[in-house]
Amino acid sequence: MAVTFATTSGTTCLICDTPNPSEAQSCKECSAPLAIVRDALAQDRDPNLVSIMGDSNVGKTVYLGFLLDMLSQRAHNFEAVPKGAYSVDLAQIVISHMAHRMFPPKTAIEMDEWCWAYYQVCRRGRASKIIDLVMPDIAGEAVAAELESPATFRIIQNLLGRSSGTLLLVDAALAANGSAQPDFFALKMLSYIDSMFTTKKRRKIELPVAVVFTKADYCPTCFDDPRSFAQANLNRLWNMCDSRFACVEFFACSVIGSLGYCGGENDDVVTSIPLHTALNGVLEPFEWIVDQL
Amino acid sequence: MALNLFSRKRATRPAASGMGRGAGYVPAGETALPDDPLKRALQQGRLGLLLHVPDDAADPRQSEAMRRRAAQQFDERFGMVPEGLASITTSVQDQPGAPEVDHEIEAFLLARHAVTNEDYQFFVDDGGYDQLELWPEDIWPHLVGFKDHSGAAGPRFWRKGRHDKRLARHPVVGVNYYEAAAYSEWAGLCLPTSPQWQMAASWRVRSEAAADRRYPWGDALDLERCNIWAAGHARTLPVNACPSGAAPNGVLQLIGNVWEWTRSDFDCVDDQGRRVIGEMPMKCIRGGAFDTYFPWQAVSAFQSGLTLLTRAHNVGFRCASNIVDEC
Amino acid sequence: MDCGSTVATSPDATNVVHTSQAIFTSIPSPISRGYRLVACGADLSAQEKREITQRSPSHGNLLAVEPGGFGLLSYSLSSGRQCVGLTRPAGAEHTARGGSRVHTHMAILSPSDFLRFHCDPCRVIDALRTAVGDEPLLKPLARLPIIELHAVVPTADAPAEIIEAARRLLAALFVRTTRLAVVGIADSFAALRLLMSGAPLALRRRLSLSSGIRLSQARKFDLVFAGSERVSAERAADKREIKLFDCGSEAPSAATPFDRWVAFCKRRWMDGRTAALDRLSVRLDQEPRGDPLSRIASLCDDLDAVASASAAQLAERLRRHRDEPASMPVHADLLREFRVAAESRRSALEGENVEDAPRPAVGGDR
Repeated sequence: MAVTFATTSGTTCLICDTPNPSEAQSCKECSAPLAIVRDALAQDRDPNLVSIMGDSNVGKTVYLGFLLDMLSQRAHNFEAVPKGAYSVDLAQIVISHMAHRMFPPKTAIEMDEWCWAYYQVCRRGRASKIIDLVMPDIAGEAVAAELESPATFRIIQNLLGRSSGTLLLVDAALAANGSAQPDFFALKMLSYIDSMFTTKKRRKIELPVAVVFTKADYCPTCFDDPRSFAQANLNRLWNMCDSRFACVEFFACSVIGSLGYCGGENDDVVTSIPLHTALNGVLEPFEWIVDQL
Repeated sequence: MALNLFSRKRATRPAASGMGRGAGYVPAGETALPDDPLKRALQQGRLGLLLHVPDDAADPRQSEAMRRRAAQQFDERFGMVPEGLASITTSVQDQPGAPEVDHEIEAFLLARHAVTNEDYQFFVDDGGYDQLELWPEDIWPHLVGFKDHSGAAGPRFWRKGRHDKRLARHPVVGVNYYEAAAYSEWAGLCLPTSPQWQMAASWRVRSEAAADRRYPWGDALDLERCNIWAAGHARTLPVNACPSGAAPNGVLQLIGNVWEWTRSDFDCVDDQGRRVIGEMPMKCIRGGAFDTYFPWQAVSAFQSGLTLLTRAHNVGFRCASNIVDEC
Repeated sequence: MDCGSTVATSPDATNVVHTSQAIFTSIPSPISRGYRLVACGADLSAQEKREITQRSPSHGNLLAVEPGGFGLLSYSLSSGRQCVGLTRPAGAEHTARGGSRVHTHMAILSPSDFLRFHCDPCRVIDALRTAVGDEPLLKPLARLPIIELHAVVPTADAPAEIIEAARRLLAALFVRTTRLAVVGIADSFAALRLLMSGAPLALRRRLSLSSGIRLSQARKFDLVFAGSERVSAERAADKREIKLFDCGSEAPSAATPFDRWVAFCKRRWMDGRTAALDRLSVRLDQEPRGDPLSRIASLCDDLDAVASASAAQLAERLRRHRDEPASMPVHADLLREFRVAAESRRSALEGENVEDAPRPAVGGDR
């Protein structure tokens, strides 16, 4: 059903439907930039929301930052134009840090610190449609808190409810080391999505889900066959995808070629240093999601 | 206007059946080698050995002939790097003003190409993985893990001990530091040190106008001259690709295509002076690769580190030889 | 830098409360990692846990990350209980991406327990700091026991610039229509302590606030001391129904109906009578209105002046307050106290007059 988002008296948030003053920059409820609404209205096209979900420290910020930067550089024949300067913030933060051999700061749980990106994307050299993509970089802790106790961060529910596709990032390094945490988190995430979209007839969920195994440089076999990797190391996730999702694909990606560590003897924390980048498999999940739209 | 937001179409593609790599693998055939050991060594590219072959008491002229042919191949396959200077940063934060150590480099020989799959095949066929004298003793227990996809001894991405013949002239990848070092020793050569590699790429010869070059060809990035991410190939190229990116001595692809193992330890500190270490000891790798996203990580002065047993898809190596014949 | 500048010196033995507690921080565990509620009392409801998770500070949100630095937050939960949190740096973030780990230890008080602290989060923080010690608890049990907090009466001496800042802020609080982000105060905890002593109880009860914690729209606090980060506070406040309040600004504040009360508070602070002011304010349990507060302030001033008033002054003041209606019980008490004191003073003055009058001759013609 068509919904009007701009009124004479204010702007309605794209994500949570909260009415906001017309001059407001971000939603007073969920802090999503209202420029997205204004830009979307100006384009006269329906924007597509692509949500990127995953546990804390799985690599959402780095993944999304590199993805956006690669799109801006026309990788894989994509042409992507940021709509609004705010859309470039995340890529700038990630690239600036990684170029200096540092990881970007942890994404805080406070919603007003999340970066939002709104890009117009199309394939070059074809008479293909232009897709408007809205992609927020959210905190893994917010996702975890929402899964633990729904309605803690309603924005997660709103994002997923309005997503045209979801990238579910899973830590391949942890999974390959035998930790069950990534598997359980992914199962919770998919169960949450299932409970949002399930119908009486128990049809499979149509929402395209790209399961992306991050940090796959730790376990290179993940690149060879991500599906087999999922089946072998994340069986709960695998079974859930098989049972309830009609459109799911598995990918592996990494951005770090080599990782160093440093920490003094008295330090209780070791700092990780990305020694050099080696992008592998970053665009393919996104490409697949775009193909489903 | 009204927006019909987030309308979702039915998915048009069912879940794919699998995305395993290695589709269409074409194994390279066997290469017939002569019985004569010297001729066989020449064909295998074990030039370092041939230069030192003792005179055969039965046929000294053949020994001399083999040495001359080896020397000829050396000239074709190696370039001379003149003596010079290499300033290696000791800080992992490579910024202007970062502390450096200067290394005086004596002239040496560096292979014009990285070792190819075709080259490495000779090593595998010769039973290189079983010749324990080529491997450090503490690595022997790990040799069982140096297998290809099918479980045969060989680089990671091979199958049944054979390379994909479509990649014969591409640099061999999926080899760790010990495999690179073992091949080099088998060939009578060695891996370059990190300062030697940097000297070859920066061409900082001794002269009044000594200056580092950012690239072997000069100071400006040119995507026609190197295979990094921005060039858009997204895979390795044959070792003779990008000829315009050669150093003055004809050495190709020092920048881009694949990272290259050196025999130097990776020894850097962070901005607080704390040593940067890996999960196990690391050696320096140089040059950047086809998937190096940041152009400034594919310059002559940039060095990274990689743990010794890593068999990465984008790391190869090339061989070096001292002119004075000691490695 | 938000370091507390006051030292509690007078333990109040009658005010010991037992409350629930909770800890929000980032600790690795086999099940989860990252910022979350890592431990809490068994009596916290699911809704309370949600609200605490929504409003607690996470990575990069503590302004004072040096050792000894701290922040505080205070807000009502929808259950009616009050959450008061002490936020401190707790070493480096464990996920190896740098930055300081933020640790918030909270007391969850019932309304009656919060009242025993005069609904003053500064007092709760004093008690909490004493109870939990100097080091943040990084290996807590999942279920935290009830914690015993001892209310103390703080000594609240403050320099003149802090007093002036508190005065301006108190005036702004009475008339605010939006949330306030405060910048331009060197020691916001000291200013907050003064502020609470002059705020009527009704105002204290419903005021959500933070000090030393980054201004975040997500937390929706009424009052945020944003430290020295003026630019980020400006940006965060811009067009978001948050007003930036610069205590260091030279611009005079607009007149308000509460000016007399605010001026009275300032005099009390400057005279070192903050505790007495606090005892008065905590009895002001009705929605603050300018006129009643002004009358109470005037009455208190007159009460102070009784001991040195002349007969004429006394008469004038008695006349002023003779028919004054009491707006609330404390007002009635003060009127009674004033009348008693005034009568006593008048009697004393009359006694003096009798002693001073000329005595008639006694015992015949001299």
